[in-house]
Amino acid sequence: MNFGAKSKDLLVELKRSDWLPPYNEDGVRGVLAEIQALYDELTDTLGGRTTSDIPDPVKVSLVVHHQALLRNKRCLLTYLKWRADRITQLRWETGPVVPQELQQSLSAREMELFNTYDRILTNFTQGLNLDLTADLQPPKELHVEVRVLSDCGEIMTDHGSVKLDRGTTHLLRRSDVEHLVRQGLLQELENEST
Amino acid sequence: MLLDQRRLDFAYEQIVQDAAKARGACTVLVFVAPNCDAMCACRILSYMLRADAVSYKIKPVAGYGDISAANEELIKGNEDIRSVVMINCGAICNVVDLLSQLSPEAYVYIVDSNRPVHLANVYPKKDRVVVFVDEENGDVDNIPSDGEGLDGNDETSDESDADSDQEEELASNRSDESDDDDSDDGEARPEDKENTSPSDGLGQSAERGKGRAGRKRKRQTAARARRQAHDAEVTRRQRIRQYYNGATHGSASAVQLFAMAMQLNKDTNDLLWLAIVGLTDQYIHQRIDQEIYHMVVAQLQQHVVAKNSKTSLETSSADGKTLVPVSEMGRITCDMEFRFMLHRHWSLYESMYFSNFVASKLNVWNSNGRHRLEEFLAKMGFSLEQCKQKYPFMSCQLRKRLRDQIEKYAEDYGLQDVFYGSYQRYCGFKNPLSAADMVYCITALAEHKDLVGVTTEQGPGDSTGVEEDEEGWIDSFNTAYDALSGKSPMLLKQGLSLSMSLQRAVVQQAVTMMEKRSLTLFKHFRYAFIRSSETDERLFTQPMALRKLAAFLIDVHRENGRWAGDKARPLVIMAERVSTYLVVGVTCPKIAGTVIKNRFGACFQLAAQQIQARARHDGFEASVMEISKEDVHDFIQALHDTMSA
Repeated sequence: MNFGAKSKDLLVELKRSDWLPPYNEDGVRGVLAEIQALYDELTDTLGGRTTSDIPDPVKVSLVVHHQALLRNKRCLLTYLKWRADRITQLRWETGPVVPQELQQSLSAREMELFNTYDRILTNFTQGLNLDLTADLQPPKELHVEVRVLSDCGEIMTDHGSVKLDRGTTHLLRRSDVEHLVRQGLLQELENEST
Repeated sequence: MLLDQRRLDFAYEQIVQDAAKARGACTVLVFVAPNCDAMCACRILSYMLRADAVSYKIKPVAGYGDISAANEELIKGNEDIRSVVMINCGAICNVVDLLSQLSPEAYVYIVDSNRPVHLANVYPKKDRVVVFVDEENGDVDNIPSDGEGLDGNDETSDESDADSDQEEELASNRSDESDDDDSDDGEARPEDKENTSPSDGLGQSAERGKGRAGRKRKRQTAARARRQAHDAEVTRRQRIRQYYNGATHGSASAVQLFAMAMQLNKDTNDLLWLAIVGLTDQYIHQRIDQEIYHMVVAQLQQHVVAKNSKTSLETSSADGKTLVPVSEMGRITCDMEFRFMLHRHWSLYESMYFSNFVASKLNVWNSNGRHRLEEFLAKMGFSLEQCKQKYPFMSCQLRKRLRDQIEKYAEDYGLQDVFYGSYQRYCGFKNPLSAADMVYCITALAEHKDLVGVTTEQGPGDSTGVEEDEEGWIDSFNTAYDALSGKSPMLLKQGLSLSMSLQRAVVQQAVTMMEKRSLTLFKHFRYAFIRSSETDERLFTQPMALRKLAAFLIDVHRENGRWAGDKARPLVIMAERVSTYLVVGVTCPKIAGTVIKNRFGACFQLAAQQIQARARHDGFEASVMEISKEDVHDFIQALHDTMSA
């Protein structure tokens, strides 16, 4: 029996996808079944005997089965944890709604996780009165110099409106244009440090 | 009004204060012309504004059309804009007209090396226009003192006259020289001319004081004044005509803004380098005299030395004998620069072969000249095999000996003056980049970015080519602007190889033109046509490339004596574009390294008006014009007539 092959496949699947693969219900069940089988095998071999009663060659087989069981468990937990991390990270990056094309990759429980996490974070930001998701990296400077790559029309800022026409370069408050930079309409320029 | 280079910090503080007061989202609007000096200046300015967290908008502009468009689109109804900075554009036209939509509280700062400064900018009605000038280097010496207060004969009538004049001028745009007499009201006495060198931009009160004094004097000698008035009027008009006759260049914008940074204690090595590059741009493209160049280089030297002391960069190793260089990142050194372009990045042979200096003196394109060049290298003890390698791969010993050897033998081959004082900058432990290299690189990128790596992809239809041209230059501008930061070695490399191929093309084209004898002599100028079928690619559809070509032709003919002395004539080159010809007029000074006034601006305009040609005369350099194909032959005739008149 090829111990741990199924759980490995699950992890490889994670690694190969861009974001997350669809939740592999069958795979997870398969691994659980393997764990169950391993457990049964263990208890059968043990047969209610104490350690001293068991001959050494049998002990070896017991350890191998047990290790395989533990490994399967670890892989399964990794699978779930990895997905959960990606899902919570998604909340920071895109906001309170899961984009349509990503929704099909999530299981019902994972959607629930996302929504719960969203609720917690929203409550927390409301309590702080500060949008924590605005800056994922702490900004070095208040202002940022940006080049307009494609026309954005006029944008409103706290201090007034600015027209962003293609090819011009602006120094603006980071908070005003951060989202446009993320969308790729503006390009942040590297400068001589001030 | 004029503001001297030594007091620019006032202007900057005004900008910052206005920005603080207005609290708008974007209070400073910067117009930048697409040339190397302007980009350097703009980088200096934006650095300072960034340091003070003043939000700004940089708008590249290629011609007055762009500024007028911005006037309607960006400035109109935008109360936020408090300061408009115009870099290498605007000085020679009436800015108050041009930016008519600007709110009355806003200031316009003109940092422009183009001269003469339009008198309406020197003596604006409201002191909201500030022109940066360099008095020390004789920037304002010949400005007619026409704003010398309202101390004319009849103040009231004179003032209304002035007003109506101004209205006329508003209507008739910046075209006619005589329009600019408007701001003059009184008789222009020569002694006043000196007193009122309108340097003191903030000295309105002083001028008003002078006005009072004038009135007093007037009461005493009213009759005499009236008699003189007429004569004075005549001489004044003459003086003004003289003043506007021909375009020259003043202090480089980058140098001016570096002076400003210095007064504000914001000068860094990066900014110093930008100032040097801006200055070198002016020199290489023959906008300033060799003499002035040397003077400013000497002025900058003390800053270079102060900021780049050698001792701080080297520490001795444990045994106390060897000096171990520490990081040299960004260090600037003074060094003599060869008049071979890009020799550090090209092969030595090609660098000499294609440089204006060597090519024109040795006539390298014929076998005789090439032989002489090879002989020269042989005498120096440089094998051809080595010289045709890329410079970094040339043997180290040869590279070390290069300067001494050239110095030793250059005279024998008529290559006097092969060096000039310049600066280099080290980036890491690689080959240094000289200021001239930088200029070639940036200029090439600014004009021909679209040719980078484009070998097969020629625009399929002509019409698309035009549209790309309209927008494409902004991308080129931005690429060049980014390359100037020196943070992207890739861009610099591209620019260097681009400028090499450009120079190769220039020499080839020039040789073809000389062999075909396509240069025609008229009484007042020479001209030549370049058909698009004759040249590969679109190289010569850009003014700077044409200028390079013209400079090469002039250098060659000056050296071989055909255009020397009395036979010197300015050169007009017309290059075919899709449906137009690009016309560029270049002066031909009798001595290499000097600059004479370029009078083509007004002549082009008059000639085009005479034949009612469909022409676009929109760029900041008056000696560049675009004219439709059908009209071009008539235009040459008309130009001849105009210049004869």
